[in-house]
Amino acid sequence: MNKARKKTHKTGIGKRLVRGSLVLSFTRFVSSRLVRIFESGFAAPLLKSVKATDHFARKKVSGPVFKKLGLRKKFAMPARNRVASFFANNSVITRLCGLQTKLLNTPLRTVGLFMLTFGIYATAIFLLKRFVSLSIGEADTDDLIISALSVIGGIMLTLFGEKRLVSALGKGKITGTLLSDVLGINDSSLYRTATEKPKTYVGISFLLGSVLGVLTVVLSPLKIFFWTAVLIGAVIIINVPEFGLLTAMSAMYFLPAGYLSIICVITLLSYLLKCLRLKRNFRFGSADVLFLLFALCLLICCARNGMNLGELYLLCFLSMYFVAKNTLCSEKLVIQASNSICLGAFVGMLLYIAGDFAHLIQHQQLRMVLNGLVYCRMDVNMLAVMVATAIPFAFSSFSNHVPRHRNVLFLILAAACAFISDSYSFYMLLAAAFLVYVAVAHKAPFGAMAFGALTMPTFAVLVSDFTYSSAVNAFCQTGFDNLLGIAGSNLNFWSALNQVGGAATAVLFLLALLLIMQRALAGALMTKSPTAGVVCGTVAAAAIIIVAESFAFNLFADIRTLLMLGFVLGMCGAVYKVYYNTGKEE
Amino acid sequence: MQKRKFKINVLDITIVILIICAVAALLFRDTINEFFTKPNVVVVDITVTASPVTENEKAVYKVGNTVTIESDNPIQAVITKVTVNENKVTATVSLNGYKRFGRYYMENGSPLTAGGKYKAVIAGNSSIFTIAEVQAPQIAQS
Repeated sequence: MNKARKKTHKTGIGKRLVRGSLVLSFTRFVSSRLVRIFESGFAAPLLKSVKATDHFARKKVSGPVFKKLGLRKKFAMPARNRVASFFANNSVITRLCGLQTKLLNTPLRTVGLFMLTFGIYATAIFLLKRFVSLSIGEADTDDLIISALSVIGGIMLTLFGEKRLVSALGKGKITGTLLSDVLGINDSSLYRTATEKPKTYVGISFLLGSVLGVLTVVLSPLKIFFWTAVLIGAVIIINVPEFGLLTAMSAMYFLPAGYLSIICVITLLSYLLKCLRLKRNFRFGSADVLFLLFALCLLICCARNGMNLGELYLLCFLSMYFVAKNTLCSEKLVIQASNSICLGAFVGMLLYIAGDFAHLIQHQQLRMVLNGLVYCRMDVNMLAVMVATAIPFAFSSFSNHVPRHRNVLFLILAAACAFISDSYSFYMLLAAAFLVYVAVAHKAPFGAMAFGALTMPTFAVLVSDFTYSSAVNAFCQTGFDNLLGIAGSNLNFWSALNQVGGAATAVLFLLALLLIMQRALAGALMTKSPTAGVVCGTVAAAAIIIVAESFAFNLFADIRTLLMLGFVLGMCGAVYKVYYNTGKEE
Repeated sequence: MQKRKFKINVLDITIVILIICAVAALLFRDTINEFFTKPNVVVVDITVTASPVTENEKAVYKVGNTVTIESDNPIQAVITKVTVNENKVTATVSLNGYKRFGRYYMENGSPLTAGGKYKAVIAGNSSIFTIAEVQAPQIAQS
């Protein structure tokens, strides 16, 4: 054997130990036998019946009903054609699309000129407010800081911004990573817009900067920037519903439920418009029928009792199930979705730690800003629920496309959060999430169970004051459940759901859940490709974890957890479609 | 899936610079605020020492109530307390000034720091004031 071949066959001591270990070989053997029961044994029909169930639902239930009602012929298709032709023929929309293309093609210099003009005007108005006796309102120092930052950014971009905006956004280290790796922007579609010759719009930048700059007489520059960013965000969501979905997932740890629900509503509208313009698909499986029935049942119950704000948020968040299931239609989008979950959880953990140590910061301004940032951070118990759900995504090897140190950093931060919170339930949830991930994604149920059986009780004994109630009661705190009118007792999610929507709603949700889980597990265990198996297994593990948590903990305590629930369940349907039921096998 | 390479471009650099500037501005927010604020007029009490030579010069401090601190824009100050020793006069003088970046200034912009020397005219007699101490001011009606 020559040196090169020796080098390729070189294995580490760890790998050799794992391969040579009798105990691990035994657990692997038992695990593979257990998995085989579901793959080809007597339990196989449970998972293999998925396609048959869908086929049955499509051909025997929903198909005939829709045919009889003539919904497709009388309503859906005419509406789709009308909307599609409206969008295609409307001159305003065509011009707006042209403007958007022009804006994306313009060099960064245009943006720089806008920022520079805005900053100069805003600074001048600040100085007028401060030093000239005019009755045009008070000037805050923050206004000056924002104006100065705008001037600095404007100078930088005006002097060096020769690249097109689309290219700078898509290829940049920060913006490119954020947009293309996390927030669901398809960069190839971005470059398709880069066809025109770039042109700097000096007059428009100057005019827009002047108008917005003069507006600082009545509004603060921070507000103007905030609303401009909101407007740009809304335009992007209207164009790319995936962006809205994944932004909501990334921002759910620091945005209040109200803002999140606004993002969800815009995303839902954008998705529906895309469907009507024939640019996105809307597939309706058997699980979706049950989920829709559950949502309708909940809506009717809520409307009958007089709708309140919490219930509206709830419906907005649950609607993301359909958006996630239908928009995450490619391998890349699934990876972006898992990245957005990890990024969100990462930010949530950072905010939790920052909030805990904010009081140590001596500088008053810095402490105030930090306190403002962590104002909407999650309660430690709800954070534990969410981080445990995100753990499979952080562990999954399919995120090999990101540097591994990101995943390591995520796990270190999760352990740090558990340590700082001093909550044993946090540790237990993290450990349980890891074990579920190993059991489902790596098809090692016996090994995970054996490891769990050995370590979990030992850990519980070591931590002598750990009891089930001490772990669980902490989670049953009242939060949004107050708003929903179900507070006052240590409920779990299901009892709370029963109170909000009645037993029928809870049963419908359970049935939908069973079908969704069946699809997730079918994807995890029945796919032939190992990578696809890990991806499906990861999503299935996350779904199992959050469903298991729903039986023990009151997810209504922070309604944002239900956004995660809807999203993960939607992802189950999405990966099933992307990796398992691709239509090629049929 | 194809792995994409991202490169640092001018937009990234601008974002990083803006973040650094924002943090720096946050840290020095009070200083920035002070720099761009018209300072409030405050009455500053200063303790000064003067070294008169003759008994006549010492007597001037006993009768004089106001003092003019000479410069391009002379400032009128009120003598509130006088202690006359054998060869030195210690007086407390109140004058209008302002505070900026932790230091006190006279209305004409001259700094009021311990050890600073000013030519002063009291009841027609010229004297050299050395500032011994600047005391906490009272906010004046501006």
